[in-house]
Amino acid sequence: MNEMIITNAVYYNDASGNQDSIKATIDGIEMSVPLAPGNRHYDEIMRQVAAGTLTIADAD
Amino acid sequence: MSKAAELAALIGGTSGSSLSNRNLVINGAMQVAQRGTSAVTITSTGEYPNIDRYSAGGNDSSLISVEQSTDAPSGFEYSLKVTSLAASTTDAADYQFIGQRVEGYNTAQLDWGASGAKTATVSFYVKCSVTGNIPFVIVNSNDTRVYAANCTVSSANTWEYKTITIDGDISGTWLKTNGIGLKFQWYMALGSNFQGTLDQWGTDYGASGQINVCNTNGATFQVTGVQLEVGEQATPFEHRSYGDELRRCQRYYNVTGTSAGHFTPASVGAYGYVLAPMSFPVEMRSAPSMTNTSFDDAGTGSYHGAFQSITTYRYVQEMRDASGNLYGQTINTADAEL
Repeated sequence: MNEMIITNAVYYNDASGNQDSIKATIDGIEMSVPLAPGNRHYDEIMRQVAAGTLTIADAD
Repeated sequence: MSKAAELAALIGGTSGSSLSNRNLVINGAMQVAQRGTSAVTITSTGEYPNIDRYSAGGNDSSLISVEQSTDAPSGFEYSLKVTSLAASTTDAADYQFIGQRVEGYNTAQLDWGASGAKTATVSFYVKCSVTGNIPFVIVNSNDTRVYAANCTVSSANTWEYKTITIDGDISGTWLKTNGIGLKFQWYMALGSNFQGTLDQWGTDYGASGQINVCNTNGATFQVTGVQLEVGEQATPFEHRSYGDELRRCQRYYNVTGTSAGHFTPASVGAYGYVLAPMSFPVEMRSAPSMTNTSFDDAGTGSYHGAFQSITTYRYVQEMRDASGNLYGQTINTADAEL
């Protein structure tokens, strides 16, 4: 399977300032992706980050 | 021997099968299609097009479409239909597949990867516009153990019942929790790089001489009544109620919310507006990815997270209509597919 096309990845924090999720556009669809290994979108985001092809922006 | 014992023996009681819940496949009758029923063209990245639990993909885009069809053999109402969108050439590294990833919790009883690995049998109805041997495989989660077999289509455009019995794999890594327990797939195209020997565990996905549905523009491939069970013999398809099958599918994908303004956003904390926590219909396989399909389609909105777990979520976002009024329209999808 070819890789997902992921853009506009940015962390989102909870009210306490802790990272809660990643908002990203995946294959053209805007998604909230949990920080949960085993979630296929999260796993693919981390794979692309490790490969150096994707950067996740910090929360505002 | 009692009638119950006779029936148990008939369906392979001594081989670990069971009277009910013996089908390890979810949505084998292709009933549930929460994403829609119309044809979806498969892109190179693949994904879940329409019929629940079935994924499709390949290394090239726009070679096939997938839809839920009402053409089915007697006893079934639906089938999964693949249509070839071009007379493509299959190069050595090319592939296009349709299939299902089955959760490890559901396949653990096979005990694959251990000395006690059980024999399994897959059965299904197939109808194809071209005749020949179509590649069928069962694969582990990291694609290191593959059992390839022929799905032989003898007569064009005719429903045929097929069974394939697979010796349990005593090697390899087979996940037994909420990851991919196994994958079963039919290949609409399979290049020579993947060809080797059939009917044994290895790394080959097919063999020379098999056909590629994708090589014929307009060719169709349909399948339904998919069953994977413990034992050396296929038993009649285990029909489950629509509601039962829907619940099983919702563990991997579900839609909550409404377009009728049901939700009332409340003013909360620093983020302004928050939806009350919502429960998923069933506990999900893992914390899902969430999409919100309509929260800002009539006005403005800023997103602050979905805060999802395997049981609940709460979208935190401003929700206002074009006039700046609170706007409670939202439909949320949760995706924990494998």
